[in-house]
Amino acid sequence: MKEFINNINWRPFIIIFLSLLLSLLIGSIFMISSGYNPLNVYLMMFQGAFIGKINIMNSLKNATPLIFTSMAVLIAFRTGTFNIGVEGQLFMGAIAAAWAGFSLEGLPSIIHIPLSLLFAIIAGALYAMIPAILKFKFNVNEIITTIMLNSIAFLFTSYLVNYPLRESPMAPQTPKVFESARLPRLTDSSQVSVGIIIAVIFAVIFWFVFKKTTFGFRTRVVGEASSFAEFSGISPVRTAFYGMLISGAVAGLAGGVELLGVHYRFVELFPTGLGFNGILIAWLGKGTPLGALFAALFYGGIQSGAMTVDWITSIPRQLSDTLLVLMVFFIAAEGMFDWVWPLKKKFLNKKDQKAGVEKNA
Amino acid sequence: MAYAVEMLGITKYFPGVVANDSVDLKVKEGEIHALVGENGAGKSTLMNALYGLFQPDEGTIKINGEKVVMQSSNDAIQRGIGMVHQKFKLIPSFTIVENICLGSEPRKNKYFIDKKEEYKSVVEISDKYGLKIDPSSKIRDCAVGIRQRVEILKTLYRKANILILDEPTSVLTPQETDELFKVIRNLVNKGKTVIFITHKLREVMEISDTVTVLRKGKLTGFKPTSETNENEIARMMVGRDVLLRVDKKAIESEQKPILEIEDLVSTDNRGLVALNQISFEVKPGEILGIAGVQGNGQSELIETITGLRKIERGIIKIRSKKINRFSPKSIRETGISHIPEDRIERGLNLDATIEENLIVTSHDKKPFSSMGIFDFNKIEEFSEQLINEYDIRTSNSKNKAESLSGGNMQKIVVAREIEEDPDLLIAAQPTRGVDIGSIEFIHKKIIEARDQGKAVLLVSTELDEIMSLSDRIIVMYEGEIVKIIPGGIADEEELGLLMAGIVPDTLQSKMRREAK
Amino acid sequence: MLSKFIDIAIIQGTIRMATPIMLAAMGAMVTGLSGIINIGLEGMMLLGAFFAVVGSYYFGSVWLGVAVALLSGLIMALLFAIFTMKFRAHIILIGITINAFALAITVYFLRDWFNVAGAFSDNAIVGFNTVKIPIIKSIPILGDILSGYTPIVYLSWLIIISMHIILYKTPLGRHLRAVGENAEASETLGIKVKGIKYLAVILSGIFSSLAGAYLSLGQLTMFTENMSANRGFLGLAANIFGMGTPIGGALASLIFGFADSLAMRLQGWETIPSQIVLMIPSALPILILLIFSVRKKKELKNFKEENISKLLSGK
Repeated sequence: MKEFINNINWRPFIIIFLSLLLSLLIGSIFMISSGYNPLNVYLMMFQGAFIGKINIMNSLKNATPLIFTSMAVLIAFRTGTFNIGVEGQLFMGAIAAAWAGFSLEGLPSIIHIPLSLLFAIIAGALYAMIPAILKFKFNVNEIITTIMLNSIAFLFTSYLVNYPLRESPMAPQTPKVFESARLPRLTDSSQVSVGIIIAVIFAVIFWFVFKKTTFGFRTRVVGEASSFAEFSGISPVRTAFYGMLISGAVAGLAGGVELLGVHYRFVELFPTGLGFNGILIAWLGKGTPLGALFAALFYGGIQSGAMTVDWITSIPRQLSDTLLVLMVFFIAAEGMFDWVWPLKKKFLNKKDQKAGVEKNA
Repeated sequence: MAYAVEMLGITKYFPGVVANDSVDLKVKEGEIHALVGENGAGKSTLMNALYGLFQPDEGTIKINGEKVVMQSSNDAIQRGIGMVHQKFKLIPSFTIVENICLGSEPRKNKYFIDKKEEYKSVVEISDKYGLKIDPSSKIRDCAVGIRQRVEILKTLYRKANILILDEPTSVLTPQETDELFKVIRNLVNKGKTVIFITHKLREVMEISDTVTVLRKGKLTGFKPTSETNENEIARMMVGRDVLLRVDKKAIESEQKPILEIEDLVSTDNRGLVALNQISFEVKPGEILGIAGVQGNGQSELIETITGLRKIERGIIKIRSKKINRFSPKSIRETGISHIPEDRIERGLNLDATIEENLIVTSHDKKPFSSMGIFDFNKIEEFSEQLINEYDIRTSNSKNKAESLSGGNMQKIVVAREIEEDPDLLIAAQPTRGVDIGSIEFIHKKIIEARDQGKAVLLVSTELDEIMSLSDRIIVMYEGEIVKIIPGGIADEEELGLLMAGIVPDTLQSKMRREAK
Repeated sequence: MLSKFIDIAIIQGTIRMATPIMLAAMGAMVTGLSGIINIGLEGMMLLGAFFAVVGSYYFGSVWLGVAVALLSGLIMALLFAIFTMKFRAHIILIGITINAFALAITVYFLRDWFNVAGAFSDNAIVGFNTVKIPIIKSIPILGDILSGYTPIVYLSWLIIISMHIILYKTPLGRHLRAVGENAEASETLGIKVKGIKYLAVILSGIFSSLAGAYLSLGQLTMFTENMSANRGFLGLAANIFGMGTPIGGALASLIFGFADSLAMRLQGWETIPSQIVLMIPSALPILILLIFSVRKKKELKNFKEENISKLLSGK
């Protein structure tokens, strides 16, 4: 047991803990300045997040798309590609699912739902293929291209809902998807659907793939040491290309699940930020699937907690986003905590010396 | 005549090695002084100390008779020392003038660059020392020879009197080398002092007034060039160490070669020709050693054979089968394994565990995985067996590779590649930076592979290693094969000459005798 | 047909729409030249827009509003620089985080401080007035094109010209360009690489927050949620399209501004949806990067072939 504890790399945990602490501290400053007792607010937030069925359901609803998008970010990043395009790929997936949902009539749910999701997956993957080809065939940096492709995706979907897929002259939106395409809801009182179950299953699959499979191994080798991979017979280009396609597919699925589970139609103001928040969640989870899963659930909770706080007090619900951003800021800044490690060593040495003295005595 | 540079009793320790062991270097004012030695002999360490990049642990440095302590390269520049590094430090999109004056631009009105003035002063210097350039052309459009001139001009613009040229000819064509030599003579005529680092003996004889030879961190020779000759310098450079003789069985009788290479041409990363129509073959049960100074095409040769570099012209065959367009993976599958020269970049993933590094090349095969899913028990079993067999010193097979010493890291690579049970084993610099115990062990393993009837292609810049292991030796120089000779015929001196591109007469007659 | 869309109003619209993109492009340029990708321009612009309104509202002065905006830009830039250079944070991630931070915190403060959601406008916010340039305004046509904007428009022109002068006429500018291309070489020549990088990031923060102030005090006199609306990213694009030069970046921004302005004109006009026109600024840089890459590949290949054929014919 002792060896087990020693073998765990505590560093990430310590960094996460300190980051959380610092963020809550800064959050407290905001609350005090608005005239509230931070402890009360945080308690309220916790209750709003995790106490009571409706709150829990809302937290799960919030977490669902983020679990997907953070997985999408993870798989690409593992191969060394920063997919900032998750946002745009999600939009493409959502509109594809919407189209499949409202235009394919008369299918049973058992076919209609998977088919619509498949449309979303393919749309996301195809859209991710553009930066992938640009990067791996033409050596064009993916950062700029994915940012630009995000804007293009916003504009393209906006065009679709304004013109070809517009339901009525009243509002820029598509028709609602048929009942047969809607993801079953877990309860009547909230918008959480079976999407959360699919999301958790996906996170576990990702964990399994990363941990146990040769493909997962290859993605890591390529990301960590690309010329070593090439030398060992693992093609960095091919592996990273697949990584990007999978990333896009999962991002598209995120859009599909969000659309078929929550909104039922693509409105011009489809929620933005799910992709970018996925990046933050992936970092908050320290780059592992299970870490990201917990981070997404945690953040989903913070979101509904902040909503509760918003209702009761005058503190805006954007408190949740602010806290998330602060945490990621600190977690990303590893060098910020450099002063911690010598302290720990000092502390341990003292303990060892003490132990030594005791032994000698 | 006075000394421009005196370095006395310079000693510099790096973790685990003595890079300079009480070395003296005395350079007279106005001379061309050649500093000669093999890779790792300590030339760069000595020059970096002179250039202020680090300070020696012991010893004193005098510039023009005055004792100095150099804290940084800025100090060195202030004292009139200029260095032209092997890797140029230039800004490609800038013009020649902009590059020369970068960091010390003449100004007008305090805040603006005086472009006329800088242009004028560059032209002045280039005229004075006969370094012909087109001041307003961009560096990215310039040939290597011109870039080097710009580097020299950079030091002259900063008023250097003592110029250190670090292997300046290693990147030049013979014609460019001739040009450079003219420039160097010109510089000396104008009163500059030049320290010329090289390991090409012909150049030493041609250009230098005095030569200092280093070997394994120690001073082994200091003579006026006129009083010595290529053979003597080669001997001082390579030394007369008693070779570690390895017992070997004789080569088996004539068999079909495993690897055949015909008229192979390939280029380096910049698109320059690195392999110039090379042909040779390797037979089962023999170790073919490739000797040569680093950067003469050996790396490109290995990369081309293993599929990591594109074949431009020519044919590579494994067991008579053409593999020109094969991927690195399929080349491995035809039975080639490869101990790469750069174990940190190519040979290992330092972030991964020892286990992962041991199975990476066969991770997708049984017993390590089936249907894409790992069997970690099998992997652990296999790893522990190799760790024992190859004596990899570690507490746990799940430790990260980065936690090991250089020798143990290399043993992981050797273990992995030999356990592939290849028909052809390529070993590039297999013992570089490895402790003596591990060297012996790795040599033994290579011989074992040969005795089992595998073909071995050994690339090394260590002459000892080449001479003690090889059944035949190829010497490469500037992308070409100088000579293919049977092992045990040439001595160090002759090999040293071959590595400089010269075929010694003594060797010719020896080979004729052998043929009879 | 064309004259239906090209008139003085659309040219004026182009210049107005181009101004924030231009400023962001200058920010992208200085950081880009020093070897840094600053994705956070978008967030810095949004914060600038917000704090310009805050400053103007509380101090009752438009220039103090700008000053507060610039201060916010400076602080964000310093955070960016310290986090990435000192604390080893991932440079792209920090950019994204700054954007997310700006989005969240501006809405938070909007509600917390002003008790409004979505947008904040108040009579107490002092916006910019347009300025007519004395002599130029009386020139026919040209006077209408060049005169009659808010001061930040002129300021942005001034910035472009001074960036051009600094980059190509002063040692500082030359050093900045050298650092981005070869930091190691610059270091050996005694150039303070880190200092220059800090300076570049700070300038980018100032330029993009100025762009933000232009949005909230120049174009409109209000703040709305996510007011920057991708203009920071368009600045990045304009810089690529302009090949990293001030003049090029400015011209690219004008093209993007024209697309913006044209799209507005097209709204409600059915044959060409405005969205398609608005895609141009995002699609162009991708195309440019692709062309660069193809050309570079071809050049290396030709060089290689030339060397090999020289070799083979020599024998």
